[in-house]
Amino acid sequence: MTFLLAKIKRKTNLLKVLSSEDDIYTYSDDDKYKLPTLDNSIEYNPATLLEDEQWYKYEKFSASEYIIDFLTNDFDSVNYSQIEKDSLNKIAYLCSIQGNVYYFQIISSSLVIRGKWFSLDVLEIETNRPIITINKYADVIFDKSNDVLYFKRLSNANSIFKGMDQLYREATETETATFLSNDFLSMKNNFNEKLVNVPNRKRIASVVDTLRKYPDDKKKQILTYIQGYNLVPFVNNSFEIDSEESLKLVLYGLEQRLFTTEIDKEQKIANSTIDIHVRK
Amino acid sequence: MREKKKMNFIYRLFLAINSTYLIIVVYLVKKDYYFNFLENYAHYFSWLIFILTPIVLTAISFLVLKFLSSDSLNKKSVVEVELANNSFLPTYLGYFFVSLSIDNIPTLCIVFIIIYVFTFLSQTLYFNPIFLLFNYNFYFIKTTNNVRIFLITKKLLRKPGEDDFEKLKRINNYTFIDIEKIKK
Repeated sequence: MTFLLAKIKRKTNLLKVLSSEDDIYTYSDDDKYKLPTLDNSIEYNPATLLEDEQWYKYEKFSASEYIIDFLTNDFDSVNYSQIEKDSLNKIAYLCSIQGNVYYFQIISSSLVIRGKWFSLDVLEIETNRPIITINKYADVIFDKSNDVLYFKRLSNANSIFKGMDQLYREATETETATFLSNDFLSMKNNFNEKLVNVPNRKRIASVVDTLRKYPDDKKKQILTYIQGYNLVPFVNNSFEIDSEESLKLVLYGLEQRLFTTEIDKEQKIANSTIDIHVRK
Repeated sequence: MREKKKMNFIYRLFLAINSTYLIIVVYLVKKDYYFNFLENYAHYFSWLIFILTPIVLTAISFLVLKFLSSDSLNKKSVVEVELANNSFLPTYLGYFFVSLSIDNIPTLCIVFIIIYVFTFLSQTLYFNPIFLLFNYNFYFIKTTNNVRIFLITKKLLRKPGEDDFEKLKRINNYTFIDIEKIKK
């Protein structure tokens, strides 16, 4: 038995939408709504970009601070009231409960069809009967038996589990300003913290923590390492930052993403990295 | 979905009729009404038909159940079980006294409509004692989420955590009926 629940904006309790004998997200190949391959998933790390079929995973999710009661309690549909028609306009996300697996789908306005429509079976125009379409893949999946949360985008997981974006937060304007005022950076062309965009702010947030832990000699070592790649002019003991691009390259350097291939000695930048021990 | 909702509404109207219909039966018996085609027989035959009518209607109501929305409840989630089989008695005694003291049909109609409307709106009071004849029992159940529901089931519950309820049907958000056949 599959139950479809809905979370209404600004309400804590979920509501029951429907129950069905058929799974909403299924395994069979001919079904459009098939399950993604979750085996191909990697521990969440902002430094790693996903391939098409890959998912991020968060293991032991029930022990994390982001878990919600709805997932820890045993699921009993009798605890949830039936959704009323006027709430259907205010759905934040849907959750399909299929055995021990919870499939979440964020409801954006693009999934709600308010205009006229007709079904391919019954060729009649329907008006004022808005419908909600269900995506091929769920946005976030929680496998309760293994206690693992799967997601493709942290922002989606964050809209269900508030605070998860702390896993990969952006640096605030003050933090950005503090970072840019480091001795090893000098601003050129009036470049300042106000011009730093979101991806670079995220990189700053994660670099700042690592940098703080470094002893002085290690800091010196990493600066020499970045200079070695000659990507950003290094004048008077500081990198000259004149654009987002040069800032990004220095940040990549601080994350040690600049490397030379072992055999061919080609210089490269890793825009996505995976720890080798995690992969195993 | 729309059909299902309509079905649920009709079913609830129907249940409310079944649980209040006895008022009319008691009145008809008291006033010594009988069917014309049975006038040559003892009035008991007519009264038997009056009494059988709500029973047959209740039997029909079981056929509509499969159109209602399904639900489930784990045995682990039941924290409290309270038998409610007898809680209809005070209400019913009330109904009986009312119908015994009514003198004419118009008063009966008004009283019946008032009781019917409030039974329907009260939602938690679909006590239909005729369900007892079909081996159903009434329980108040409290779940781990602190939700209290009214459950109509053939199972005999004595303490929490003995039975799973996998085939419940939702009559309203507080009232559920179990359609699972009991294993003997």
